[in-house]
Amino acid sequence: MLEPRPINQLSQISWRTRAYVLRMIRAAGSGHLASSLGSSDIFTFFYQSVLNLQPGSTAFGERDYFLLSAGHLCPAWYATLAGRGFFAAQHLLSLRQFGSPLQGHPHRQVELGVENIAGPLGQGVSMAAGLALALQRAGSQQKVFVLSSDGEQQEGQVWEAYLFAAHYRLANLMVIIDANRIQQSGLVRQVMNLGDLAGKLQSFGFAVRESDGHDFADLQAKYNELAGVDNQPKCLLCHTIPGKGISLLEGDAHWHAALPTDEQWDEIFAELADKLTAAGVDTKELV
Amino acid sequence: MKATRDGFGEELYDLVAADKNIIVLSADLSSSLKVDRIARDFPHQYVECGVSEQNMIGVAAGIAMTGKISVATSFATFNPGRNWEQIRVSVAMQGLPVKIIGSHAGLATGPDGATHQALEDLALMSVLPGMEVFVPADYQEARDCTRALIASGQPGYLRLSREPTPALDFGGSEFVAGRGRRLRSGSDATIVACGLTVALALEVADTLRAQADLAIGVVDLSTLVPLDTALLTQLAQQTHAIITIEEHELVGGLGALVAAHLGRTCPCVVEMVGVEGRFGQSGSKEQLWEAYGLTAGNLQNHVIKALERKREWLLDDGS
Repeated sequence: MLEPRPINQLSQISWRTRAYVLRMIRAAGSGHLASSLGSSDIFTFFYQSVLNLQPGSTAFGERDYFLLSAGHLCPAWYATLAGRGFFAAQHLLSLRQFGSPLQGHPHRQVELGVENIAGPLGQGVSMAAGLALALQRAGSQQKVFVLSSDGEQQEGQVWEAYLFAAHYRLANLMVIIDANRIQQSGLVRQVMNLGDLAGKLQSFGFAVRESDGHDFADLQAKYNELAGVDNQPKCLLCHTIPGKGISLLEGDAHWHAALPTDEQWDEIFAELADKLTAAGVDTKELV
Repeated sequence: MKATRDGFGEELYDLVAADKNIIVLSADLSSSLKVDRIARDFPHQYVECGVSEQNMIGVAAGIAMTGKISVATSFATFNPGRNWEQIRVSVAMQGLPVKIIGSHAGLATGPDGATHQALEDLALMSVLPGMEVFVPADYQEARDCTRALIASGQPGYLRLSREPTPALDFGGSEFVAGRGRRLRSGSDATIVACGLTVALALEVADTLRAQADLAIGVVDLSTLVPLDTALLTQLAQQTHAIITIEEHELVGGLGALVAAHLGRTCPCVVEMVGVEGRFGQSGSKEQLWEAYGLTAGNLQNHVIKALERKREWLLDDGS
């Protein structure tokens, strides 16, 4: 377990992640802006305050595992991994380019911190459950985290995985759900309403906490509560704002996969510069 | 008489007993897949997944991420039928040593009917890059294929049958993974078979030798992928006529793989026997094989037809 970082540091790191996400997707000409920006704080919290990892040493026997199931969030994952020292930040701008290890949806490259393949929804949760079972049976103290999304809960496979995780009492497994309330075709509640998601997970046998996915103190508090639960798999249900941090992109399902115009990009980067300054990020550090 | 699924279950039991690294998964079909003794005697190496074939593949992949070999077992209609996309992404694209075991394949599944008779599984699996595909012809060969499957570091598929069948006489030919086994040699034509249809091929070759003095070779292609291309090319060059037979849809099965290879390297006469554009139905194995053309008589007709086509083809070629 890492020592929790001061909140102002987390905020700066998350803003650096957002800055890279915006540059990466603009350079690539495609990618999922809203959920990448909306999940930046979750990635930052876990990679900077929770996960026991040694970048460059995949054999590190006590390491935790962080899998991404909602693969379209990968721009934020890649930027977070670079920020945690898994690879140099200049590689980020190769996102979605021919020959780049950073594919449009992640391909497993453990040495880069990309633990699993993802994109086709629902599969990462099952992989995380299998990993957690293997570690549980080995008597290991290692933990498995998997980041899913609210839209992904429409896949039947995740509910198969939840049954499995509860049946085997995978207390070393934490499912993190980025609930940003949007998906490809609109609002989740309009496309296919999930109803009482927290209640459903509880009824499946999970210990569930809901958190403001942009409030690092709240994330830490709810994480700590879950970490103290024995004998049950855990779910941290994080309520987030898609496009968080950039006014034009916030809260609008249109930006799930759409791309801004050149004029809108200019507007976005102007706002980003102000936000980075306000957060105290030295923009000269950015590659 | 024993079924290929018995050979799998018994060989896997021995392998699991000897190697703690092998983890066996089931989707509520442990007795059908003959892994119930493993569940009983090695519970630490067994994972019951319930009737959740898609999750089973993800779990198998997650377990394999820790350096273990996962063996995911169910009926072939569900595994790879139900969970093909999970196999494509979580297993094949990640190159993990997850072994997919599909039992009750083919029409021989019988009374359970069309939904439970996998006739498409070889096409589904042989199309995936890096996926090895094994189709044993009898109990002993199922043991051999199981050993080869587990020993390989790659993803793999093993197709099994429910029906007990007689042990085949392999003569002196040894099982070698990735190689076809020449069970009969013959200069007139060659029958290439896999799975339970190998017995039919032997019957027809022996009949034609005794009754018509024809020298028909028989090859048991228990490894479908990687295809034994060297042997197939050699047989095409030697006999100029290949007849395939399989308990599978002709699109994407043994015959299609063989014909595609020969078409590109050594064109010759190819006849194919198998299921054509139909689903199965309830019935006994004998009734269904009769109704779908998996009979010695039908295979023999195709051999004769191949010999006639070969004669015309060689004459044309000469003029």
